[in-house]
Formats: sequence, C-alpha cells, structure tokens
Amino acid sequence: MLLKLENVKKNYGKFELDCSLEVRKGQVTGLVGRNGAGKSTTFKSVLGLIYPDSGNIEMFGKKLSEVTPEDKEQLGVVLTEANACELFTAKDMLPVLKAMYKSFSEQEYVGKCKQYDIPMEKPLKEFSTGMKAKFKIIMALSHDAKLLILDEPTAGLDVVMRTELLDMLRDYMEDEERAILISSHISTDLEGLCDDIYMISDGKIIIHEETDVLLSEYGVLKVTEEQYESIDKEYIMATTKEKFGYLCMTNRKDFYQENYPQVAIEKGNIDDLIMMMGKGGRK
Amino acid sequence: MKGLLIKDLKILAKQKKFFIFVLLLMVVMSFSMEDVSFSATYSVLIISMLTLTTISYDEMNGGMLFLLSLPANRKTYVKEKYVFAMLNLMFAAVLAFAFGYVASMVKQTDIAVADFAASVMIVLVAVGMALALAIPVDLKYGAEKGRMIVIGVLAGFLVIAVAVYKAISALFHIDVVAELTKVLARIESKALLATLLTGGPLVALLLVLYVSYLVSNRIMMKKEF
Repeated sequence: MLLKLENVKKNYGKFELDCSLEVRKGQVTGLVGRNGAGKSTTFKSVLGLIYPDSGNIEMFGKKLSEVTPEDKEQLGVVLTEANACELFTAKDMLPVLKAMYKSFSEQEYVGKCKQYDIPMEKPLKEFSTGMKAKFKIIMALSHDAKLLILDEPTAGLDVVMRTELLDMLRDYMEDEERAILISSHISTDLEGLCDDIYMISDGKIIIHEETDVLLSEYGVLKVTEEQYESIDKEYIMATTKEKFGYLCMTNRKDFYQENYPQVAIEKGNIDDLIMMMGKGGRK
Repeated sequence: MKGLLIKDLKILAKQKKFFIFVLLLMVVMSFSMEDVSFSATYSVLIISMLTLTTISYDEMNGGMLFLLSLPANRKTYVKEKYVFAMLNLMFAAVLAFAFGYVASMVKQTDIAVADFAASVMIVLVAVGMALALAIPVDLKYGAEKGRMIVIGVLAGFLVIAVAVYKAISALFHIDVVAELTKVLARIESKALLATLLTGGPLVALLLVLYVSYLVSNRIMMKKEF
C-alpha cells in the first residue's frame, strides 16, 4: 500500500471532509467529484498542507507525520493551484530540482522538455496554460517517483496535449512498483487510465468501484412515471426527475435488463455518475 | 535545504536591474556626498531586505504549495530562510566594505576604517533586527500585509523609544546617551571597549534572530495552505 486514508476528517464549517481511500502498488486510482466536492482538500491533507481534525493518513507504510523529506523524494506532485516561481525558466528549475532529488534525471528532464516543446530559456510567466500544465508534469516525472499525486493535471490542456499526457502516465505505470492518485473533471481521461475510481460528493466518498465494473455494470435507466412506480428500486442508487419521467442510476444494469426488458437502459459512465450522484441527485 | 537556497539565489539573480540601480545610486551618492559610508550603509539596508522579496515570490501563485510538495518540509523552509537572511546580510556587508574601499581609492580620500566599519555594523545589526521581526510577520500574514505591519511596528517602536528617552531626560534631568557614554568612557582597555561595542550588538542580533527563528517555526507549523 503506498497511500492510505482512514476516516480523514476536516471541518470547514459548512463543508466537512470525511474521506477513506487507498492507493496500491501497480494501480492508478481516480478521484472524481464536482468542484468543491473535496478533491483538493483530500490532496492537501495527503501532502500535509492542511492538518486533518481526525483520522489517519499513511504514506509508504508510515504515518504522515513520520514521513521525512527523503521519503518525499519518492513522490511526484501536481496541484492545480501550485506553481513554481514565475520568474524562473525550465533551465532555472533544473539545479533546484537536482538539489532536491537524489534520483533526479537531468537527461530525462531536458529530454521531456524538448519532446513536449517546453522552451528552456523562457520564463514561466510567458508560458501558455497548456505549457504550464505540461511543465508541472515533467517536473513531477523526472525523479523516478514511486507515487504520483496529480490534482487535475489535464486542466487547461487540449485534446492532443491530454492524449500526450495520458501516454506519459501510461509509460510511467509500466513499472509495477509505482502508483498514481489522480483527479480530473474530464472523465474520459480517467475511464481509460484508472484501475479503480472513488467518487466524492459533499466531502464524502460515496462510491468506490473498479473502473471495469463501473463501466460494465453501472447504467442509467430512463423510465416513465408509471414504470418508475413499478420497478424494484433495490439497486437504484440515485434518481433525478426529468420531463419524460425519471433517470435512475443503477449498479446492477443486468438486473434491470433481465427483469424489465421494456425499460431503456444506457451504459453508465463517470459523467453520469457525477451528475446524478452529486448534490441533490441522490436517493 | 540546498535546493531552496539555490532557488533563493536564483530569485536574487533575477533582480539584476535592481542591483544595477543600487550600484548606480551608491556611485552617485558617494560622489555627491563627502562621506562614502552613507551610501554603503544604505546599500546594506536595501540588499538585506531582499530576503523579504524572496518570501513574497515564494507566496505568489500558489508557490508555497509547490515548494512544500517538493522534498522540503515546513521546518526546512524556515531554516533555509534564516540561513539565507544571514548570508544575505553578510553579502551586503562585504559589498559595503568593498564599495567603501574602492570609493575611497577613487576619491583619494582616507576613510576612517573604524568609523566606517562601525556605521556599516550599526546598520547591519539594525536591519538584522528588523528582519527578525519581518520574517515571522511575513510568514504569518503574507508578504503584502506583513510589510505594512512591520513598517507600523518599527515606526511605533521609534516613537516610543524617543518618547521614553525624552521622558527620562525630563523626569530625572539626565541625558541617557551622555550617561551611557560616560560609563563606556570609564572602560580603560580600548580592546575591551571595541569588543563590547561590536561583539555586544552582534551577539544580541544572533540571539534575536534565533528567537525569531523559533517563532517563525511555530507559525509555519501551525499554518494551513
């Protein structure tokens, strides 16, 4: 286990985080949820940037408070809000990172900057949003980290860049000892990359499922009002009212396919989950 | 720590225009004034304050989130800031001496080395003390707000010091400065006097910086980002 959160609570008055999750070796774990659902709070807790009120966080098998800067060399981090000094160029960052990480690979860093069109001599403040995002990931990937913690790494990237980035992450995962915890609001990114997905809403983890299960067994029922009254609601997780009747999210698509062949059922995806399981939609 | 130091040195290196401006100012001032020590001490003042500039760059654009996600924890960050502040003070002092030496050569005037050294040291200690106040305040309230608070506190301190001095003079009919000078004059050994006058303030500065470091550490450990 590279990362484990157990009932990590943080109270901000109106909002309370209560999160448990695990990231295992060889796995890519996704964290999805709407804006303000608690994704960034979770990431900040993991990184020790905020102090949870209660609960346990373990990283690399150690309590978070016992994790040393040397241990943190095993970590690669991208946070949406976090940026290197704007005055700096990629070239300026090189000696800084080299001094920070024993296993920093100058060759890899320079090579990746070249490969992904990051100019070495241009200050970061002149970078486009996409360049900034790519550069952050290059910095996180250049020191042979065991665990990547990526909060919205694809934010601001166009389709081509996103594909490039996802390829970088797939390459990274070729080593079985590694793992990634990633959040994104672009669900297709996660569907193709993650082994399992946690969904967070209102600070709480409401679903944890293997991505395959999620894509094959979850579905959305489109039912009229009469159909809604008649169906067994045991496997309905969320319902929203629509003009024609109801949309129901189920985690047992097969059950309804067998028992209610007349009901229209669509394959579930992460977007539907977020939309229906987020605020208000839940049963 | 080394990585953070390199980062701060790089931030300093980016202030090229500022350094050229300071250098020009020093040259202009030393030629328009009889005394070169004023321009030299002035440069100590503004160069030392660059430590605070590095804090404000660290805070910009989620910079602290970035730095603390690297293999540097809050304690390392604070420690590095004080090491950097001291290095910067030393750099400013060396620069002031070098400048004083060159300026006196160019102007072909003798400078009283002891006086020059004393005035550089007084400013160094004063600026060091101001930094000891400003670093924890900046870390707690942010560089922008911190600057206002520090200026306010220093101004307040000055007003109070002057008021206390005047009050003592008025109430007890003694001049504190004159009395102190008399006490010091009683010390016969010149060497002891020099040690007291230079060593005393330097030791005091180191003590104050250490206390300031402890306070900054507490502030950083409590802070949430």
